[in-house]
Amino acid sequence: MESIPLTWEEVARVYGRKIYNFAYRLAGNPEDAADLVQEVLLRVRRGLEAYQPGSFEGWLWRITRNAFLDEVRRRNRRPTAPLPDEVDRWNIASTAGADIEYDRISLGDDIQKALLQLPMEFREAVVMCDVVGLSYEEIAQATAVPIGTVRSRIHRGRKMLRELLG
Amino acid sequence: MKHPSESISAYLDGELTAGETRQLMAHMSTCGRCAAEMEDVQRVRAAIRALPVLELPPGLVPEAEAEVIPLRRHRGFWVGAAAAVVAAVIVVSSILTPPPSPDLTVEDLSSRFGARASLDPTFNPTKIPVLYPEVGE
Repeated sequence: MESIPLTWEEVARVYGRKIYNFAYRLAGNPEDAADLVQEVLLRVRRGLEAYQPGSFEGWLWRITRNAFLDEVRRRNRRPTAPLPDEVDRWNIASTAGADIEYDRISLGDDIQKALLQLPMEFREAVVMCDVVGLSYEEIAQATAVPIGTVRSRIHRGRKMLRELLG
Repeated sequence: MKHPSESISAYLDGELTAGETRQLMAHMSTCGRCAAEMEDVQRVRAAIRALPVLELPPGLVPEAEAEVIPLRRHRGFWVGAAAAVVAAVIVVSSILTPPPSPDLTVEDLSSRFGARASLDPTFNPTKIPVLYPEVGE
């Protein structure tokens, strides 16, 4: 049977940095990434008791991904005025009405900026694969889509990045 | 000709079956377009994987450990906590020190305690331990 972290503190210690990196690459700034880490760890703490043995990574990253999307939706309900030169458009095609404009892009490197221009479903697939290092199966579990969709999203996401990076 | 484009990333990620790999390789041997695409995708993939691994900001996880305090711990919490500690120090100090002469002003008091904080290098209100209730798992 799969060995899983026994306590949420162990989850924090083992996965905290991965969650932070995932969040940072999706959100593009350290403040939102730090907020997401805290939110995810709170959800893990509440959810560990009910955790059923299975793919712990799939479970953890589903929580992480859902926490991120919840935050996107929350901001979308209370949009803030973005700065004209610092607008990123989050296009969540799979979530009706969940477009959001983000008001901060703090990282200057080209790859990060290009990542932030990807539609959400492509961005999260690419980040889960290339930043977090999840398998396609784990990404499929985390995002609740078939592996074939994961495969397509990762490839299309990388091709979009190629175009954006010139 | 049907190009197995999406198999390219899966191949690079080691996610193809042996049969799929054979098919892709057979196609690539005759298709310059897919060979070029693989080169492009491989370059992008390598660039993303070369992004620096970011370290957790100090104190992030310990803050989360104090989850017993309901709701999310916003960064503003620490500003409020530090302000509360400073206020408590001022109140205690005002009790323990002789009452000010009647002609002291609010500005005088503010200046006095502000100076104390700035002159004492060990005085750091944010370092005063904040206790949280015990939590069971």
